[in-house]
Amino acid sequence: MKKKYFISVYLLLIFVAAKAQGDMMMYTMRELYQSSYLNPAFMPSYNLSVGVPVLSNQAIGFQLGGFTVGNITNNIADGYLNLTNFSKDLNSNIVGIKLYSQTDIFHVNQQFGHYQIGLHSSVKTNTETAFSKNFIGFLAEGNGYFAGQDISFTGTNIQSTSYIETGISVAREFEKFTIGARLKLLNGIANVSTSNININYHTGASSFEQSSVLLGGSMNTSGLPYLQDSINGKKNTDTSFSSSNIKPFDNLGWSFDLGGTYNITPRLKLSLSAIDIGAINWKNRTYNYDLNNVDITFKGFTYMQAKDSATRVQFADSLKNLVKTHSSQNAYSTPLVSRFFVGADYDLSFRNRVGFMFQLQYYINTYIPSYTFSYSHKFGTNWSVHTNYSYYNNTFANLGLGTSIKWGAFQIYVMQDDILLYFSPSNARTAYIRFGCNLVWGAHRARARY
Amino acid sequence: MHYLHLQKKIFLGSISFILLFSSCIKDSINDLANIKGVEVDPYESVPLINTHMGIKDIYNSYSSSAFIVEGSDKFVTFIYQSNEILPQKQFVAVPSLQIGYNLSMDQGSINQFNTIGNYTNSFSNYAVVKPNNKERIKKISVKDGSFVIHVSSDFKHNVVIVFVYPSITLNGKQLVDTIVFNYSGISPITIDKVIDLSGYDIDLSDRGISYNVIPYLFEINLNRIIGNPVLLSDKLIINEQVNISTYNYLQGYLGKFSVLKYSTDESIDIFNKQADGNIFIKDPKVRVMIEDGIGMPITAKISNMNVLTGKGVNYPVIVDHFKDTFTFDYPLSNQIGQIIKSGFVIDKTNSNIDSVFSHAPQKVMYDIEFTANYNELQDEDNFLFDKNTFNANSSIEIPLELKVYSYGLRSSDTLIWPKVPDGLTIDWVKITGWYQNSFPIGNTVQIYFAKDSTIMGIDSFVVVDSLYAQPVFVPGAIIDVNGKLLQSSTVTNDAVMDDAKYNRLKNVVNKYLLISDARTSDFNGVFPFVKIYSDQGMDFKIGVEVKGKYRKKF
Repeated sequence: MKKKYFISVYLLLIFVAAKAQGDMMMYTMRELYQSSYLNPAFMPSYNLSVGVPVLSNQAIGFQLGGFTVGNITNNIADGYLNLTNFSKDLNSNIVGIKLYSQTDIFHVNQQFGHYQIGLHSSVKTNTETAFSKNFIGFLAEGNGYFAGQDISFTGTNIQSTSYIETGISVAREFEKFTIGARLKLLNGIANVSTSNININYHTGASSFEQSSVLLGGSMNTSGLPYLQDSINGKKNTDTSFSSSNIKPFDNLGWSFDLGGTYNITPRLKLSLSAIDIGAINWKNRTYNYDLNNVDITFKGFTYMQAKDSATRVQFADSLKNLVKTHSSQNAYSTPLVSRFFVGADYDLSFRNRVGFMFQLQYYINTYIPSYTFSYSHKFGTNWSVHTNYSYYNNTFANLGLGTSIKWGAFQIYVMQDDILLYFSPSNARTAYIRFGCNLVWGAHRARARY
Repeated sequence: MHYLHLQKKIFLGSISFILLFSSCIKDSINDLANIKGVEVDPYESVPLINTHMGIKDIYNSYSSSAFIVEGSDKFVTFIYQSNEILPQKQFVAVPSLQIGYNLSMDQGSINQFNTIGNYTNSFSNYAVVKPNNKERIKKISVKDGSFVIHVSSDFKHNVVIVFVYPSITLNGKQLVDTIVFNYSGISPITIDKVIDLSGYDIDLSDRGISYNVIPYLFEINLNRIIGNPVLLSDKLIINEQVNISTYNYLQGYLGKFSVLKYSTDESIDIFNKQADGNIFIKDPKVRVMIEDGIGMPITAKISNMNVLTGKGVNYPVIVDHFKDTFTFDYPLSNQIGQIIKSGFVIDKTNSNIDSVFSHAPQKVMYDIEFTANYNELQDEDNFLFDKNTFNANSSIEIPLELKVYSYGLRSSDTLIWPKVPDGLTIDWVKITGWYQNSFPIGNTVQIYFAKDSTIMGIDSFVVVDSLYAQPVFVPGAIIDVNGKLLQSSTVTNDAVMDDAKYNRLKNVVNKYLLISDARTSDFNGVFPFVKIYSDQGMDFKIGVEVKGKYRKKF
């Protein structure tokens, strides 16, 4: 009864919460130390794992939101990409591009009996750029198609963060369950983040009717040059990029990961984790740009404005002043992109395992779930092959493949979440690859099966 | 062994898989890499004009020379005004006054003088001003003048002469002057003397009973110098001259003279762009106003009034013969120093100005002369100051109560095509207009595209095309039989230029020609006079839609 109750709550969490993308394969590859990045309670198959500096973990991810490469290639004619047709083909209200990269500087992970202690440092970059489909359509098709309509560009957003993460993790294995936690010191390198971008455009029902636009929002930057001519009445001198302006120790933050596993039966294991819960306080070279909700209505020029160019220039200047942002240099903070994992594994045999994983990730203003079914097989003692099938990013065509091989102390791995990219690149929305080389010693008897 | 065999198969399968599908990726990469640029098919819709044009706005769009006066009921009158300010001047020249007297003694007087030792002679008379222009001067306050005295004596004796001018006073004190000759052995003795008359008052009315006269009295005393003889030929000669170059004040009948004369050539630009047709102004007026500080009757006579139409035709304004002369009010003797305003009007009651104005004049021309004492009423006293005010203000008033059968306007100007960004090709342009008219005047409008040309050696232009297939009619507001506005009219129209027309016109057209034909609203076919008020107007909303293709090469 207790087991049934637990399983029900577990499934509810999976289907009600949910959102995620990326790293579907890594969650399955438990033989790697890197799987503990997704759940600090995961204990890899080897007692000691040391990352080869820089080469131990390289991840690059690229994700398209609301469109595919095919949406681009299908609308190329005569060598020109027709943005009007492209915008019509978009099947999501939000169009975005996400770039993700991670490079481990080092890691050390050692198991002591039932304990595991790890230390790592990584450089991470997350960039999410999102535009409202209406915004793309407005630019590409013109406002004439929206006659008599209010169109909102809600969803337009830019979030880009680059930071160094240094973490220490501890896991404890009990008889049926394992718990783990990781505390991470964050040093921000650079950031661009927008908030409350609010653009509404009304086009008159007839061309002679007034059009209006409501503009609002704010943007913060850190580590980047100032984008306007003057600030606080002084001329802007901060106009160029320079490495000397990057001061990670000025931009401090903390985050933590929590995780746990529970063996319902010797073959069935449930897992649960929340990672990257934290924020970075940006203090170095910060600029804040605020645009109060500005409501501009254009009815057409008056006779005087139409007749006199000076009057028109005056009108344009007043318009420019109206949409001028107010700037300041205050510190601000940005949260990390948090992710939540719920998984279940079932050992079919000594060499075969199936699993399910649900991931929820906050991505471009919305929680996006992903659902992954996985199968793992171990060839011999040192080679594991993993495959999975996922639904995420509004597509079912996500087939992943990953493998790791141990040769002496070297543990080499590579994984990709979207190998159908090779079959049908035009329908691909994701490109993700992670690879690396660890030095491992001391296979753990109980965990070395996969 | 079994696993080694399986590993081999998987490895070979993986290689095959990569080789097979890497070509798909290559194609996609090629597609993306070969993108030369982007293109969009924009369809833009923009409001271009949104304005209200009242009668003032319409007029001020091309001129500002007329005053636009609003009545309390907002009824509009156009006023074209010209001012003539007369500089201060001395209208009347006071002639010089000559006074002469010769004294000689007969033998009996000589004998008596030799016996008694002195001789006295008194003489009184009136010096008379001889007017140039029938003036009857009674009082002069001298601003600048002189009393020139020349006396010569042959007598070899001492002489004392006392001149008394009781009507020439300074601060109430009469002018008395004494000249003394003390014989010193030289004969004749001559004395010249000048008395400054500035500030003197001269009464020429002989205490209110006459004019142009100055009474005077001479008293001459000769005192004998023993041993010196007196001859019958000895003479005492007195010559005096009163010169008044400027006056502070002048009173009396001051003669008939022209105060001001000028010709006007007033442009009436409210009709400037009229090409043809009939427009009837119900009650046009020419109003002459004066500001008069001159204490004498001023009469104005208007003559040679003509209007010049846009076609260069002159039409005379015939003013009633008996009503073409106007006399203004002027300050009376008890209003000295005041400015009296008065005027006269030429309108349809005394002229045919209303019918002449139906030709939509471009200019109104007339001569006007202001004459003092036009009727020469010599019994009436006038007065003049050294600083007289006389300003004449003539204006042409056009109250906008009118009816128009067909009033054509033409206006042309350079057409500058909007700059189109490189890479933008236009499929079509649509111009949509919305007009709401609260003027009781309807208008048919067409805009022509034209290009410069030389016709018969004269710079001109030829029409290439028109914006609208048919002229657009914007009806006037609905009115009742009395011309009172009941309801505004609203109309919408559009004009579409396809790419062929747009590109053809853009390449050749450099001028536009606006032709409109206006007529006032009618009530069941009857055209009453309608009034134009300042709160009436035309509301324009014009928008442009453009459909095109824009290519931008990377």
